[in-house]
Amino acid sequence: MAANKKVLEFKQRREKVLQGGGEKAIQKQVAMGKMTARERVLAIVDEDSFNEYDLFVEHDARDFDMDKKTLHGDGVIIGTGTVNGRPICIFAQDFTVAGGSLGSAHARKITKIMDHSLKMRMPLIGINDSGGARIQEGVNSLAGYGEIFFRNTLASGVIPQISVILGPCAGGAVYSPALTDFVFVVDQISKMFITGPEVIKTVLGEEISMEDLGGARVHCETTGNAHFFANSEFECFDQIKKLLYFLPWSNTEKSSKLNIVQPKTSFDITEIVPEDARQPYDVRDVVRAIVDDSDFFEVQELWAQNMVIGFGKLAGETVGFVCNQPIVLAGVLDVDSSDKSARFIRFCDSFNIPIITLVDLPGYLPGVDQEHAGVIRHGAKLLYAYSEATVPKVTVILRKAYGGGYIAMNSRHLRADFVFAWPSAEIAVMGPEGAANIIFKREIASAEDPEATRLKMVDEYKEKFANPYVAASKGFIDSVIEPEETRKVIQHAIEVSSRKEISMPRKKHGIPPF
Amino acid sequence: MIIMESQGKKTTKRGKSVDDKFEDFYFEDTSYRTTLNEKFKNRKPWKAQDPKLIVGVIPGTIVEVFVTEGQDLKKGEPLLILEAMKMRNVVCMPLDGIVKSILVEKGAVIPKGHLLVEIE
Repeated sequence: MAANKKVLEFKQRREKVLQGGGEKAIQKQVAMGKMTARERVLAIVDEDSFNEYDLFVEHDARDFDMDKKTLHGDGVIIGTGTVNGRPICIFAQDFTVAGGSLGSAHARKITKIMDHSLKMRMPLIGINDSGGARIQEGVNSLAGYGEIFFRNTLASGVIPQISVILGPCAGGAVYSPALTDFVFVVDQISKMFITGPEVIKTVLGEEISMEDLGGARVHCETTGNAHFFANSEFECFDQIKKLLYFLPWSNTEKSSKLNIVQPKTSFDITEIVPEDARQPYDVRDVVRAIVDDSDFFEVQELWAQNMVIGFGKLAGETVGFVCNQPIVLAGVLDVDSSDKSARFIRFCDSFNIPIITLVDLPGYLPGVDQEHAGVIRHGAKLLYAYSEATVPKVTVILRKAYGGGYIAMNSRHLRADFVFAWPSAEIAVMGPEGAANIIFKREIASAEDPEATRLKMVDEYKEKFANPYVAASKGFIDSVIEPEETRKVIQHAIEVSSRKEISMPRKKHGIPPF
Repeated sequence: MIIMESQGKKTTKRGKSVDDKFEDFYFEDTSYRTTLNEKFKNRKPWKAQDPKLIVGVIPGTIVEVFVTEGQDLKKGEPLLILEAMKMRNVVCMPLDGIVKSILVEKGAVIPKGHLLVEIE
């Protein structure tokens, strides 16, 4: 029968395209320890949920004998599917087809699925595994990148955008991930750089391996370009699904509400924080003692560790945490930690996620390197992000909140909705030692026993100022609370601010200190 | 990099205990027990730049050397050409002086910050 013949032909055609770059190229991909593009897509989306589009798209390049070459799917897979039962858009570059290189048809496929994700308000997941621009297509491929960057920017703050680097992502190609919200990398597989080791060697005479230049670890620990580090592709996919579980699908929605689960009893909030403000503790344990099921999902865990950011559920709804981490550099603010937290705050604000700030810091990190790296400009980002955010903002001061650090960490003055303090909180212009040494400089110097006088003055200062009551007496703190009340109090604060409405002055956009 | 496990059990990624990893960190006359990250530990102490030491501001190749040691030169006179990123950069005398020593030769590939010429 004629119809069957046509169906058969269609099946043959499809089968051919589904082979990607063919058996040999696939073997090479596997030898590199990598999954194929289609395997990746299917591993991320729910079973039987993937619908592919533009399977039969072909390039129309003619120069350099390209007209004689067929590139299946033009080296990229696009489609829609569901993750955790909710719809998403996804594309995956196929390295087995012409090295996943980007030509105009390839770019058109990507921009098509990007347009879908923005139009239909669902997250976009982009898997990058590409040698870069398809040189034979010249300026067409540059145009393709530009169209992608433009759409990344347009969608920014409207739908969550996730980039997964599962192979090389070099040159201009890196800027699409850089414009998205979260970048996932896998050890030994991900490589990101503007110029590779070979160019660096010939132009500048510097020798460096690809891994040391732009491997997964470098981007997670040193550059801050990536947000999630995984040891395998499967671990990476689990991280993506976990992240999506916390996110709303667009800026007009809230994250899905789950059942309330109490924190695990193994995290006893009264036991975690030492009384002595000079002793360290892991602030993540405090977060775990607050969030549902003690399940805290940390973002950028390996970079700027003096600040902890991440998501949790509180009474079933997603909240974002921004916390000083006393266990690293005593939790000081610096260039990197300001950058890291400012961007996270803006993400939460865009996607209606309330922000909870846990404060325990001595101030901004002193040093020539910090000053010359522009800690003024970078530190200002944090002030800007907090001031600008209109989602519910709740602050809990656990211990130290000194000087500029007190102001920056979502203080009342930057329009926190609720500021709470533990009895151990110390809100002051600086630590007791430093303050006493300055204020009582003359008394100490002229005393018979300067050291004894100094200690006495430090004690006096501590007694008077190293507490939450001075700030509370001025209304800068709404209540002093016991540590064990923390979860209940935050939960209530967020519940009562769920209909929060703030009108900001009309403007096209602000000018944050980028 | 330190990864902390929950419930007070502290281990690094390589499984070593970090209980003894806490160090003193001085901040405004107070010492805090904490860990110091790599970036902090590896920060370079600041040094004022000596105008008599002429260093390459960019990595590249020395393609021409115009002067010899002992030469008396005026401010602005060319010393050498450092080619970097396909641009020929003429490095000139920052002040009047004598070329004390030349530490590179034609064809040398130098990293950023490499000492090129010393003057007096």
